[in-house]
Order: sequence, then structure tokens, then C-alpha cells
Amino acid sequence: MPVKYIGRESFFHGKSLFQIARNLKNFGEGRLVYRVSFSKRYEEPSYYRLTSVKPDMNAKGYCKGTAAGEKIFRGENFGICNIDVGSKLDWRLIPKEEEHIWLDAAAKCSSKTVKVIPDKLELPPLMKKLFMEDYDVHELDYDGSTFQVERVINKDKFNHAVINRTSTETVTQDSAV
Amino acid sequence: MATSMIRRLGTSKLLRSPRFRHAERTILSDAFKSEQVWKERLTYPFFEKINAKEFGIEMLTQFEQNKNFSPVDVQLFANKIQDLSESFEYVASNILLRYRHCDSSVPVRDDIMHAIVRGYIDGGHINKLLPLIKDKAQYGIFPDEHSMCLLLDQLLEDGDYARAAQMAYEVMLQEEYDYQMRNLLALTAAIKHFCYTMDFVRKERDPVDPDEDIEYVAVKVITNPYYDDHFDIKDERFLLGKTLYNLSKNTAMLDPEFSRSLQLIGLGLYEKFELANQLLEDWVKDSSLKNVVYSEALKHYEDYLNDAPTRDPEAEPVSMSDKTLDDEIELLKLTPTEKGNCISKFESLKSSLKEGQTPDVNIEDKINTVLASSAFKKLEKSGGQTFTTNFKSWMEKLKVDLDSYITVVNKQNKMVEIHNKLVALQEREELLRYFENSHILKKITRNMEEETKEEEDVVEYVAPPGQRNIKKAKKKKF
Repeated sequence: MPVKYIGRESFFHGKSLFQIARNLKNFGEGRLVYRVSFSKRYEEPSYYRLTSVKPDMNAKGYCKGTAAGEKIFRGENFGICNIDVGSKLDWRLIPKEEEHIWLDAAAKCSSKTVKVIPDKLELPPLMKKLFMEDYDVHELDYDGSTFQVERVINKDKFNHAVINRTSTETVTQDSAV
Repeated sequence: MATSMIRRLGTSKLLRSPRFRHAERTILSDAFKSEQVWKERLTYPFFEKINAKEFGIEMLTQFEQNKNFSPVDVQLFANKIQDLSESFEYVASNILLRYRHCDSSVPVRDDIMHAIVRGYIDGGHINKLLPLIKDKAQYGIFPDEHSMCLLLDQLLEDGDYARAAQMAYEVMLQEEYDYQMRNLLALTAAIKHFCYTMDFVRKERDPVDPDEDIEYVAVKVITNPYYDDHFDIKDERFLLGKTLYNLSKNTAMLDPEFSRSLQLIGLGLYEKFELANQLLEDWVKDSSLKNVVYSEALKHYEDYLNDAPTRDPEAEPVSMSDKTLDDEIELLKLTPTEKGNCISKFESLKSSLKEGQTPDVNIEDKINTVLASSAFKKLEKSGGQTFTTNFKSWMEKLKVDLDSYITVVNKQNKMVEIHNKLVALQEREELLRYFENSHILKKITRNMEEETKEEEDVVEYVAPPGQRNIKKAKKKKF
């Protein structure tokens, strides 16, 4: 009997990581896999070199399990990371004869320009006005640098901005990055 | 004429019967197989005592409790599979199925896989092994290099070219081409199957019956069927073509024109005509090549190109809800214009080939000469030597693992024994000191009675509506 499915169309055109891995020796250790949605979204290559994949062999549809691999995202190597999205049907295996294409593309990726930003930031205008009025009431002296604060950057794996502590340039709130 | 007669006789059932089996020459000699070294393991004390059937059944009963196999147990059992009779072969397949689902089965151990494959071959259960190897997800039998060569050799010796080709497809799917002996034997199997037992009939899709009732299934998300052109290949023509192409590219011992011819035939069967034309163009333009391809290969490729099915580029795309894997495969076919371009390009390349560049060489004769060459014998010898060194390291590791396993099991048994003794001692002490400790015992029993009485007295209280599930404000301690 032919079956007709009714529902929402899926965004993904691939297989789950575990469906790929269970056909390979050692569950695909050392093989390269990539996510189709990343390959369409970004110019730079993004792929994983699998180090350990443990599928849940009793799960229905073989879509569950844990996995880890060396992550290369947009040409940048993030080291060995856990792969939480292995169950998404978005993965494709890279044939061994095409691996060199991906590796060369990742090596050729130019290093991103590091954003350098000044270390002082002006206070927001209303806050600055309140502080100035307060200073006036208490007859305290203030100058250009009183109502400036030091910038703090929350550094994480995607944010590589650097503070330039040598320049005297300040940034107002309007032009804040 | 004599060669063709011998070829036909070779495939006849008469010669494949046990009486005539030794008429077919085995490809691998004992220098590679190292049967003597392998049989010596049975003299080891830990293998001598094991009865395969009883040990296997004991393992299965213990699995019911522990839900786990120890790799040591599996290795000991695997080395004795050849003693199982055909009616008890199910014990081995059940153990392998359960072992695949255990955590201890990863990483795949070459010594266990070698023992399994060799045990099945020596026990005469090859027919039951082949479906297990094909079902990689459930059984996970990935033969190591040496045992895959032995398996291919046995199948080729029996004249079972179709099944030997199935094993060659498995070699291609794993994409591990470092071991040249395995590449060569898999390629031999593919070529023999291509020449003799391959059924080139194209399988048509089942026609859609318009009167048949459609079953509507509501799902949250309709998954897109994706054809990965590797593990999903079902058509044997494509499998054989891809195997011929990949193996001939990666086998080092072949003459360059032989390798090129096989690649061309492979790509023709696999229906990747644009890639094949590109490769042929590169070879034709390379003026350093004396012979480009064999005439037989060109003829086969031309036949495949002319017979290639096409798709209608203006056909309506299949709706999301009806799409199947076959529709995805259909999209990879050439359109009539693309096919025409491929044919015209091929004709121009063929006409640009000079007379001496396409020698008339039979593919099967060529592979037989490779198998009889001295380079092959060197490969056999080195293969046998690597096997003996590996085998020694496997046996040493097994001894070490077995000793540690036995100490662990003994320790556990000892702990259980001590626990039982302690329990018995405690009971004995209670009996002996009953009258001394009677007042304590009475207190304990009275407390227990009060607790049960309190539980009985508690009546189930249901608050009126409006006052249920109100959390009392906790008093903060300052």
C-alpha cells in the first residue's frame, strides 16, 4: 500500500550521525563528516573529524547516542568537542578521496581580522546626566574622564575581540560595537 | 576455443562439486594462510578445555543476568567456532548479535574478527557468515585484512563469484585501501563476477497502481529521503561499477592501462559518464601514454553509455509527501540533452585515439597473469609474516587478559563467599545470645509495632477546594 505523509517539510537533507557511523568500522573513528546546513550557510568549510561515537543501538530509528570529534568550524579548529546534535538528520560522510579538498580549503581560510576596540566607554546619556547633577549638588569636581568606564569583554570561543589599552580614543554609546 | 571451453567448465556445477573441488587452483598459498600457525593455538591449555557449544550456551545464559559480554569470553568462544555443528551455528550468531550491542565491542578487535571469520570458514558455515557481514549495523562483523583475503580466496576457489563480489562490495564500502592483497583479491572477485555471473538486467521500479488505496500517515515532520550514493546503493550494477572503479584506482600492482580500462568500465556501469569522459579526455591528451585503454573497455563503456536511461527534465517534481528514495535516485540520471553531449564527446575522444593506443587484451587473462606474477608471491610472503607476528602478539595479550580476568572473577567469588559466611555467623550469634539480648529485641519489636500502628491511624485528608497545594511560607532564619 503506498504511504502518503502529511506534515511539515523538514529542513534537513542528510542522515543522522549514528546512521552513518553504524555502517563503519569502529563507528567511523577518524572519518570526516559535515553538516549540510553549515556548508550552505558559510563560505568557509566546517566539518568534524570523529574521535568517538557511541550510538544507542536499541533506540528506534538509530538516531540517539553520544559523539565527540575534532571540530573545524568556518576554517577554525576548536579541538575535540562533544557533538550534541548527532541526532539531526543533517550529516553527510565525506568520501576518503575528497578529504583532501576539505582539508586544503580549511588550511587556505584566511585568519579573521581581530577586532581591536578602545578600552574606555562613555556612560549612557541619562545616567551621565544624573551623575553630573549629583556631582553638582555635592560640589564635586569632574572632568572628561570621570564619566567613563572600562570596557570588559566576555571572551568565549566565538568572541576574539581585543581591548586596545594604549590608545586614548573613547567610544560613545552610539558608536559602541 | 580451448580457453573458452575451460572457462565454461570452470563455472559448471560438476567441477564445483566436492569431488572436483581440488581441480580449481587456490589463489593463496600456505605461505599466506599460515594454517600451521593457526592450528597450533588449539594446543594452548585455555583453548583445549573449551567445548564451543556448552561455552556458548553458558555465555548466553550469563548474558541474561549481566547484559554484557567480556571480550575475553568472546575471543575464547570465537577461536572454537569451527567445532560447532550446523544446527548449533545459531549460538554463534546470537552471541555476535548481542556483543555488537555491548559497550565492550568498540573498538573492533582484529583478533576476535579474525577468529570468527576463520572459524566459520573452517567449520564450513560460509553461507551463514555472508549475511552477517552484510548486516553491519546489527552484527558488526568487520573482517580484518588477513581474514578477508582468506574469505575471498575460499569463495573464489569454490567458484562462487557472485558471493565473492558481495564481499568485494563490502571492501569498497569501508574505503580502506592500504592492504594491497585485499584490494587485489576483491578486484579479482569483481572481475570474475563481471565476466561470468553478473546479471546485467536493469531492475525497473514497481508500477504505481492508481486504484490501490493510499494510506495517509500524519507526522510532525516529513523526513526528506536522502540517497548518499554509497551505503544506500541497492542496484548491483552501481555497486559493481563503483567497486571496479575504486579498487582499480587503489591497487598498486596493476599495469596503468589495465587500471584505466577497469576504471572506465566501472564508471560506465556506475553511470557517472561525465566523470568518465573527463578522465578519458585527460588520458587522451597525455602524450606520454603509449596505451590508453583496452579496446574491450571502450566497447563496454560505449554500450553502457548508449543504453543509459534518461529522465525527463520537464517532469513535475514529486510532492513532499510522496517522495521516496527511488525518486532521489531518479534525479541522478542524465537528461536526453546531457546524454547526447556525453555521447558526442565520447565519439570525438574515441576518434582521436590512435590505432596502437587501444590494445586488444582480455581482462580476465590479465588479472590471472597478475595473480601468477612474482610480485604477488612476494606480497603473499610478507602477508604471512605480518600475520604470524600479529598472531603472537594476540596470544600474548590473551594470556595477560585471561589472567587478570580470572583474578577478578576469583575475587568476586571470594567476596560472595565471605558475605555468606558473615551472614551465617550473624544468625548463629543471634541464636546464641538470644536470652541475653531479649530485652533489646523486645524494644525493637515494640518500636516496629508502633510505627505500623501510626501508619494505619493516619487518615487521608483532602483539603477543601481553594486551600489545596498552598505552599506554606518558610520562615527565614537570620
